Amino acid sequence: MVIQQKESGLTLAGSLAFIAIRLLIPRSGKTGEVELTLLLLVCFIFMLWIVRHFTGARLKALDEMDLTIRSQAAIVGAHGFGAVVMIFAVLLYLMHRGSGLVPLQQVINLAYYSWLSLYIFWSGAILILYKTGAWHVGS
Amino acid sequence: MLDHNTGITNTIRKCRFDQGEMTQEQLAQKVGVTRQTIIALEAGKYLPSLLLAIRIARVFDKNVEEVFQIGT
Repeated sequence: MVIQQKESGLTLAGSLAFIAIRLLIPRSGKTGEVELTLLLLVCFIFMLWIVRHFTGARLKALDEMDLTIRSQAAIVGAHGFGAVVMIFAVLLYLMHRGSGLVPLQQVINLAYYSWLSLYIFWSGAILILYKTGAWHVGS
Repeated sequence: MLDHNTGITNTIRKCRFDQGEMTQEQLAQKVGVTRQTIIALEAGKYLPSLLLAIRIARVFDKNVEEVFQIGT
């Protein structure tokens, strides 16, 4: 298993764990829930940094196939991220179109889940592309 | 091995054995990639850049076309 696969596997596992942790927080709607979600977001970013540091997945350590797969997975990640943001935003609109007001907690949830989805799509795509081979984009 | 996306074949595996059974790891070190990339190349799962193709051909003292061919 190459460095980038280790990084992706740990990132995917970590992202799923952070989603599970967030789902375990009761929906109280009380003060503190927003701050707790933001704290989890900071912890998630810190986890990404730790994974990258300890797996040694620096760009200089990757060869051309690794970088090709990383770039192609980033395209997948961006599309997945965009889809999650769009679907989440439409759901918020449908849920609150009557009042025209979206609760702050749900805005933070949109930020939290969409950011984690970016890493789920990205790391998942990396692991799949190592199995299937990078896409050939030439003629 | 045939790359099913491009129809390009390569003889890297044969070339390695012609070069005194050079290992994938040795070839990887000579051309500056990981062994995983050599495995993917031999399996037809990855099409190399022109630079990497030239480097690989040079290791075997061959032209690029002798190592990489367009399949029919």
